[in-house]
Amino acid sequence: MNRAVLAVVLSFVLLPILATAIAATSVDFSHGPWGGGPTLDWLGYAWVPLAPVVARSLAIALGVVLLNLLLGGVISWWVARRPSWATFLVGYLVNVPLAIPGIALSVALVGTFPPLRPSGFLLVMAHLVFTLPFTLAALVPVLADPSLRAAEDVARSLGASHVRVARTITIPACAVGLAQAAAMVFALSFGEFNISFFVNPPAAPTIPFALFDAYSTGRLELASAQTIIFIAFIVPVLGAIVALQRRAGRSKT
Amino acid sequence: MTIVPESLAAHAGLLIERATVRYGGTVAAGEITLDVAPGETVALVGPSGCGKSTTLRAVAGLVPLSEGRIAIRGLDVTRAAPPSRGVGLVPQNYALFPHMSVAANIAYGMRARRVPATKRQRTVDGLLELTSLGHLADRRPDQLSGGQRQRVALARALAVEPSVLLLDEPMAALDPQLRGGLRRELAELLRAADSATLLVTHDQREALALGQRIAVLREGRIVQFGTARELWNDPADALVADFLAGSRLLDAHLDGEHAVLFDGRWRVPLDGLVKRTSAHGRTRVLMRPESLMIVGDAPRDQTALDAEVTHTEFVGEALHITLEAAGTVLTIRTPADVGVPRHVRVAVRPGHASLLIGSPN
Repeated sequence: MNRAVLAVVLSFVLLPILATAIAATSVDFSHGPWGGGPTLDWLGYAWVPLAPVVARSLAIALGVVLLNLLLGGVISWWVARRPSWATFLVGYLVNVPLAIPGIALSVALVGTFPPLRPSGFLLVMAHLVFTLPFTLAALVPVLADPSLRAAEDVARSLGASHVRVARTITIPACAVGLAQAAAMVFALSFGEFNISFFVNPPAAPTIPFALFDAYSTGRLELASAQTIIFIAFIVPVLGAIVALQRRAGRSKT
Repeated sequence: MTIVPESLAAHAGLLIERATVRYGGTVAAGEITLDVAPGETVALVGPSGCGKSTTLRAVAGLVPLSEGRIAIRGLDVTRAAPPSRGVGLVPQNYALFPHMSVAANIAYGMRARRVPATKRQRTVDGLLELTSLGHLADRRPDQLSGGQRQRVALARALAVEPSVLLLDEPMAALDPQLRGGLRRELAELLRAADSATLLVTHDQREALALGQRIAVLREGRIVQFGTARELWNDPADALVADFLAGSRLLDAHLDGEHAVLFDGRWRVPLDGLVKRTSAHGRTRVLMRPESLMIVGDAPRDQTALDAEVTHTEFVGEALHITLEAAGTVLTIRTPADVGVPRHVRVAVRPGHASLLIGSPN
């Protein structure tokens, strides 16, 4: 079983990445792997158009992460600690965007808030709508955990103010969930194409746009090199998610 | 906090007066009135959902009272926020702060109260020694055993020198084999502290061992509140008798030299009963498991009772037998090597059952 799962993961995740890396470092991939010899030139060429786009994508992703932690943190606390029909409804509605095709969501947002589009604010809000369910999924169970609530009660009874309880008990207990949510939201926002394609102002492309453009109009080696650069940005974040999940698993035993 | 009337202010420990907690339309605790003196431990016992933990949380200020009041050291804390009440709370499962060391857990309350570092360190060291946790000061809670966690939770609560110590099922998370020893340890620690201690438990042994007085709750209300001996010898009703001693409390009336039970079907000679005056009205016979004996050769008169054995449980040194007689379930403890037929006759073992004589109203 383990070997079968490993084989599937290797075949569908690592193998395509490996193929992309080979294409990105081949002089002419149409002659096969490393056809014409290996080279790093494509990576250099790929970075030039990507550099300004990377900065924009990073800024958007970090902004979305920040808003997620602020807004998602508050909503998660409310949903976890004040169960009512209203929190049930909000918990349900927050997840609705996951079930709606990106194009439909994008058209609805653009149609409803057209003045927000040119500034790029609508793109950030669209990413927020799309990623908020992941933040709630990470934080609500932690905040609803009776053992955390008991620890908060004890801290209060020992003389701690609400702020001190939040700072010394609640936030540390949510640290893994917060970090997981942040990493996941960053990864989703940084690579999001579907919604961004419709919502984003055309003059301000993000990384996935550049990749799309490269694959549509450029050489495979150049597009592959851009993909490798994209992966280089995202791998540490994904690695952090895995590490946090392992840590969370260990701390529960 | 406001000053309470003189009569209440005289109480130096914890005073709960007609405290009622409602969750929506449900009364979780109703008109609870009890007091705990400094250095005293009062056990709150009762079946699950009877309002014990709610009462404890109300004293801690974690749930609001809808009626009544709570005073600690003569000060009305009914509307006071938890941090200003001067209580130390040890919840079920201890709720240790998992990201802090043992020492940091113990110091937490003192940090929150801005106790100077030198005094804080001295108190932590003292409590580590008192609880024999000195060698574990740097460990995290997940590296401790259940008993060690219990001691950390207690030390953390004691560190703030609470006027009132609140213990919610402190043994519930422990293996049954560990409880005896830890009960004795806990009793010593409570004696060392001078707090008024309110202990919630559903374990009658824990209540009897640790509580100088016991309050039995049912459906949010106190059924009986008194010393362990008072409750043991003169339970207010069948719940108290069953809960504290696994006993049965049977209505009786006196007829000459006999106590008559089960509408005349059982006549127990008075000279075989320990007679006590009851503060609870009716005349009753208190039957503990050791009060009855199986009598194979009893005369066919009404001093013995026909019973059907419904369950037999081997408990090591004895058999615990459940009987049904006259529509009532009775329990009896016999030597383990006795064979028990399905139908038996039982009689009172002389001197082992009590006649509680109701005082005339």
